[in-house]
Amino acid sequence: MFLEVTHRDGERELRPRGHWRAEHAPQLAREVDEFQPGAGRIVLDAAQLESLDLTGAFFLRRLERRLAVEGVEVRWASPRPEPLEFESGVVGDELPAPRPENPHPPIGQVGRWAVERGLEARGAIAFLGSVCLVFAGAVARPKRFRAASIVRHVYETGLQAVPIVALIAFLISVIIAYIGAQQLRQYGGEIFVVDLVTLAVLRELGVLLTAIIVAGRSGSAFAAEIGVMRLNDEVDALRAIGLNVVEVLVLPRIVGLVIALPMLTIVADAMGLAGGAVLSFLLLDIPFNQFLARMQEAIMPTTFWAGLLKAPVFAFVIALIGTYRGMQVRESSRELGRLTTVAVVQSIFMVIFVNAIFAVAYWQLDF
Amino acid sequence: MSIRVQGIRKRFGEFVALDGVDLEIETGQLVALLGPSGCGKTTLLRVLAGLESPDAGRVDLHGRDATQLPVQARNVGFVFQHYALFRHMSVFDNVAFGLTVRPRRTRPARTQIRARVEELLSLVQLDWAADRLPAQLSGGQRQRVALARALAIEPAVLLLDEPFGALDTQVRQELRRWLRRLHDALHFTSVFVTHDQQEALEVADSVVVMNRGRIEQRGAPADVYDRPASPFVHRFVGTSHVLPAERTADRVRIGPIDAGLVPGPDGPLEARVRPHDLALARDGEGWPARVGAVRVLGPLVQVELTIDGVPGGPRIAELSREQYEATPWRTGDAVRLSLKRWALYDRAEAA
Repeated sequence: MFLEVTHRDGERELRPRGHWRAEHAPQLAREVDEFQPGAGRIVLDAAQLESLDLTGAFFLRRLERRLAVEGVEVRWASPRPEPLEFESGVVGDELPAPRPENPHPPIGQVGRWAVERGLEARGAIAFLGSVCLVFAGAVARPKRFRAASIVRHVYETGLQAVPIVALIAFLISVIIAYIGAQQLRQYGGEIFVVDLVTLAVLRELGVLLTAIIVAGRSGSAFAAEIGVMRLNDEVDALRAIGLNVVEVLVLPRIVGLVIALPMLTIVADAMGLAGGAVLSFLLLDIPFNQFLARMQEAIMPTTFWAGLLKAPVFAFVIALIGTYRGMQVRESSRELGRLTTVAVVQSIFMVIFVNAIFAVAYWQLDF
Repeated sequence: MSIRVQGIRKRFGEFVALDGVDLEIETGQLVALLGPSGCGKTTLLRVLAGLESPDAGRVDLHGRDATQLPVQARNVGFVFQHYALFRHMSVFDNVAFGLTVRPRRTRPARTQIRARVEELLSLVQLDWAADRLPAQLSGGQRQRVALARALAIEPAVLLLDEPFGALDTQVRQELRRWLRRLHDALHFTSVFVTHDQQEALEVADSVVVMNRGRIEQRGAPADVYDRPASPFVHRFVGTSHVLPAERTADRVRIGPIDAGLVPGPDGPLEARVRPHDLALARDGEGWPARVGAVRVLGPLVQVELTIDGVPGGPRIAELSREQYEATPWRTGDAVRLSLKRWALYDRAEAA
């Protein structure tokens, strides 16, 4: 007990006692916070206080301030302990603002969430709109496409990604072929591994894997590059100089990726088929010319295009999300990291989502 | 009138950055926007530049409504706290960039651009650095490049966002005097944002003190320092000690000191005093106080004083070296404290 309360002549006497020191901070906090000021005058008496350090003074002043906030009249029976004066000098005499009643009740939170989502959607649509406007303007006057910048982005997002895309496409199709071979061998249908690999790679896996790798590589890079420029105020500096930021920073990235991703997809398709062929030869003794002949039979004229058609759409989605998240960075580098991650996660999600829409559309169109 | 803003409001989510700002700035003035962080000064500057669009209100530049104009149409130069130079471009290209990206119709000839950039670089005393990259320059040099870049488009208004905030004290002082000279030589209108009261008082023709999205006071530097319009301004533009005062029948007493007749309702007041307006004497009228620590800081001497019976930590008086040497105070001395100059505020205003 650090705080003793006694009642006398209609007045309450409040005696801090013992050692009000840092080592008892938790208990001091509890006792000070649990004290109910109630109504009526209070006399404070420090006569039984054995020692008081700055932590103790902090809590004693918290008590004083609480009493003041509640409008309780306070009188010191003993001299006010000196550390309190010091504490007032350092922390100031301002009273803490009363804590507002829970500002966000549950229903309010739902509403707040909805409004935030709505505002965010509006921002994203506005961004898409400005990209479209700038694109239309650039189509009218092709000089505004900034060829040098586009070429750089094709190089960075396309050419530099070739090794990783090729390797992953090769390995994945080896895995598909291997699993297919194991299952189909039970029915003596090893030759259908060729159909499986060819259709899977050309229609789905080639473009999807490429898009996911590119989303991780370039979607994050777009967000980070533009985010760093925002943190550096370079984006505002461009605007202040009189440049259209979407035209300078966003459009070249989108156009660059829309060019690069289909080319990467072709590489992935080729490597995927090569992986299937190699595994078929090693595991199933299907020679390369037989693999090729079977492949011809398995595919329709549209199979290759069914996959490739998706690439520019995926590229647009990835680049749009990456640049949009980069543009959202404001003021702190923590946001930069967060938004870069958001860009990657969202673009991968959107790629898979759009792929599902394609699948349904192809099914309906019998493509 | 170069700049006029009326009723500007701007919110970021829940946060009110600007809460109805009216301001007029005459052509050729160098104006400082001064305030603590979060007071809206940078937002106001960005609204002037067109980098931020206000939720409500109107911005006129050179007598024309510019509220809806995009940045590029406003003819303003903007200097950022962290320079915002384009990292992969040489100093020359950075400065020239604003001109070379113009559409062909309005773009000056190549030789003209070269001449203009060289002129600007020699103006900021960096003609030797034209081929360097920004990373090879010091902070002060980079900020001068940024200034040259902002001036390249021949702006009618130059806006600077904490231009010296990222520099160390010495470079900062040098650069702000240099900015003042540049301003006087070139006669553009400049607005700069700072949280450093010394910087504002030293450089500007006129200081605008902001707090919580509003303008607290606008005036010449000496006015703002000597006649602060609110306790906030008093506290922000210099050190400010609070002393309790009381008014009865229009007569104000600051503790034992008679502060004369100030009409108004009876009740407690708050007196604010600068450290150099505190006077010490052995006896006579004034508060009884005790001398704490004494610090000799070059030309100034700081004396800590604990006033008997007045809450709040020790007050610090600043004496000149001569005053101190005439009567050297020692720790523990009992003194009488009186005031040479003070400002009175209502308690409610102070809260």
